[in-house]
Amino acid sequence: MAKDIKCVFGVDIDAVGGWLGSYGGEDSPSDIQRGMFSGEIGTPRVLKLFQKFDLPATWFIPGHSIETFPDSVKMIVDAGHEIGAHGYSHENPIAMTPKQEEDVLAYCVELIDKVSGRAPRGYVPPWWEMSNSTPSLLQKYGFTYDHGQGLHDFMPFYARVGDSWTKIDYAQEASAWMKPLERGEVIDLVEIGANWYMDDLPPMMFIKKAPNSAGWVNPRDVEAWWKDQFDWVYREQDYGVYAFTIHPDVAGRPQVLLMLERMIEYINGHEGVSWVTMEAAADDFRTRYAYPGPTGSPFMPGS
Amino acid sequence: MCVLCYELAPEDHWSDGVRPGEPSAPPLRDRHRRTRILAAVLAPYGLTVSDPGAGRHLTIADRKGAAEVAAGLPAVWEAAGRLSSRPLDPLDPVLLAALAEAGR
Repeated sequence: MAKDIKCVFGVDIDAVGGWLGSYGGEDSPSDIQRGMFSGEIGTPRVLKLFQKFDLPATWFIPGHSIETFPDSVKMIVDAGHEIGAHGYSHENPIAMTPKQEEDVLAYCVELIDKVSGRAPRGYVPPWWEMSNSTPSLLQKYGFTYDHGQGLHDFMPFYARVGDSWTKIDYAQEASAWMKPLERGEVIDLVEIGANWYMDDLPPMMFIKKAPNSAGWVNPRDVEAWWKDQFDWVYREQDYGVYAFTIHPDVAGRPQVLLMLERMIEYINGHEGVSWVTMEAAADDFRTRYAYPGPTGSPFMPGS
Repeated sequence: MCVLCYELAPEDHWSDGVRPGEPSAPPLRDRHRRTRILAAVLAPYGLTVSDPGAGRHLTIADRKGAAEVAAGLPAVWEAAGRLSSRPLDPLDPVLLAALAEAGR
């Protein structure tokens, strides 16, 4: 079989919203300024990188970034990239009430439709956490794919919701917690797997309020991880989706931009590789493996 | 002070209470129980606690990404006071209602 490795850049403009909702920066003018850098400086730099290599990309833009950085968002739209949803202020879905979550999603869908002329098809749940309400909301608002579940890495799959597991409570008898995980239902929502090891932010963005924040990892080390993962996928799989998750907060810095250039050149040196939007990768997966129903396998046979 | 990690010796705090655990209880049992109670007390303030299971440290976090490592209960309450948007009060009606709801 000919190689068909689809490569995707998912770009989350967390920016100020990220500092408000996820990185503990709401009281720090310095952190908020870093968010401004992401939207006003980092985003055009990343766009220029894609332009240099003529790559399509999918930008998951929080509503806060859409409204705070209209000029940058217009540049993205004008360049023909796909726009997906990513919360308003990067709120954690499992911290919100169902009504709050729907209010955020509905407003962000409206914003994306307004700036791009098209409602979003793809979603990235902030923190990569889906709440119990998220799947039905995504279906209600017309989403066809998600980039948030971690059941697989370089093979798309259908989302499964409602998995349940038992926590250990040492005050109880052991029999109370010795229970296997129960799988939930597979839903008609394609997943492009979320993969922390393909994410630029945890290793390369310093977060003052996170006690375990790194932020100082050499991009050449990250490049080595990413190349190792690509090499393994290319050797072991004839088909797959190799998806980066990057943020202009991080990827807009010179040391990361240079690393991304080297990565793109490395990948482009392989036969059977293409660069696509995340929506195109998800649509292509549907043609390979139709939705199997709620009790079917989320995974394509052989994956 | 610990000569290896330069941490001050843990301070006692009234909220540590009296341990009802049996004398022969495994060493971690009281610790898990205390963490569970802390989680219930901090939840009404929008905070979480996680316990790495070793050392004296606990991590207290809010839901917007801010977190602090605290060693010992006095430090836990200080961290929680900084991270919560409301002052911590053992007689807070919201806290008492939440604990009653949890059946504690």
